[in-house]
Amino acid sequence: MSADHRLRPVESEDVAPLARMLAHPSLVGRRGLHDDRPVLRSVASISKTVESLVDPEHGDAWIVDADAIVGLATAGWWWDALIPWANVVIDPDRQRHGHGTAAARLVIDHLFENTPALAVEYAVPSWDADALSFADSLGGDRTGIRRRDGARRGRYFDGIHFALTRSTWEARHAAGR
Amino acid sequence: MPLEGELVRLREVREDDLAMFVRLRNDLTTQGWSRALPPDYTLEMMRRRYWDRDFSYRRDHGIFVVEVKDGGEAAGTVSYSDVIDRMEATWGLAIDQRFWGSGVAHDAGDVLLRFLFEELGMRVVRLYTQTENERAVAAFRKLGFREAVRVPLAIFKGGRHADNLSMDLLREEWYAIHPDLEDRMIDPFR
Repeated sequence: MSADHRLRPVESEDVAPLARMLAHPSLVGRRGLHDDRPVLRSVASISKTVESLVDPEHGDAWIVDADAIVGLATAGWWWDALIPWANVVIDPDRQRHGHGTAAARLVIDHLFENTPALAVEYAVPSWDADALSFADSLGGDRTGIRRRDGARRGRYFDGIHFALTRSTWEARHAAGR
Repeated sequence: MPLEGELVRLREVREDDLAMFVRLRNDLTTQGWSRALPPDYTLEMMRRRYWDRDFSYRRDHGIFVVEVKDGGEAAGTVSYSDVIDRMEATWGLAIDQRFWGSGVAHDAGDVLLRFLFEELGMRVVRLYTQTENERAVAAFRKLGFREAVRVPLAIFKGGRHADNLSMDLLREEWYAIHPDLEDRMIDPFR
């Protein structure tokens, strides 16, 4: 990680570049958008969903900024503020540079430092080996499997769920991660 | 197919059910949420909630009154929501404490599952609960649901912590415990 990362609100002028990023073919099934369809989608189609992130109803959304837009981070607590969920998606052209880890840590730190969260949940699809490795690296525990979470390439896949508890997060902070 | 089991029938909500809805919503033990709602819901609030629903052929949820066949009393509600067409739905149940242990909840829950699998063609049905509600978790297991995701101590309700729990039931698992029914639906991903 060479750049300084920050999370900033999604502004109206971010909608177009964000939608272009999320329309990238390699992000099919990994966009993290609400009710997203696992197919190639037009920028115009995705823009409509992204527009709702300027003022999210049940959570927050941030641009992952490292001197440029490198990704999107979202968090929600509709079910319970004690167990918010988090999601990070990084521009495919900028992956493997530590942006995902930096963004995930910023979101998790924010949720533990500024909200009553006792655990932060996140999930990845079982077919996505890269995302699984990334999720494991964040230090949370696997909390279960949501079976038949969707279908892809002729097969059902599961959702692999994780939770990073406040006590684990505090211990990692005390140990300097 | 009538939505009818051995003990109950499921029917649409009617005006004179609304007092029961208020009673269930204002009873902290029958609120199926991760945290308590204020027990101050009114008849008028319930009227607006149920009477403002518009007619539509595209529905992603449904709610039924559980009517006990013997006597016709309304015992609670069963519902489904968050439908992804021909794939999944989220299932919910709220039964008046007077009917706990009577078999009404199991029967009503299973009738709704039959609707979800036999009519809506779901591949999986999910529910959300918390482990402090041991009676409910046991009832859900009896219906065939299995534990899916458990987040330890992440719920606070009734003055104590509990685990947040989601459970799911696959189509073939439900048919396996109903050998009298045959699943004739083609699985697109088998």
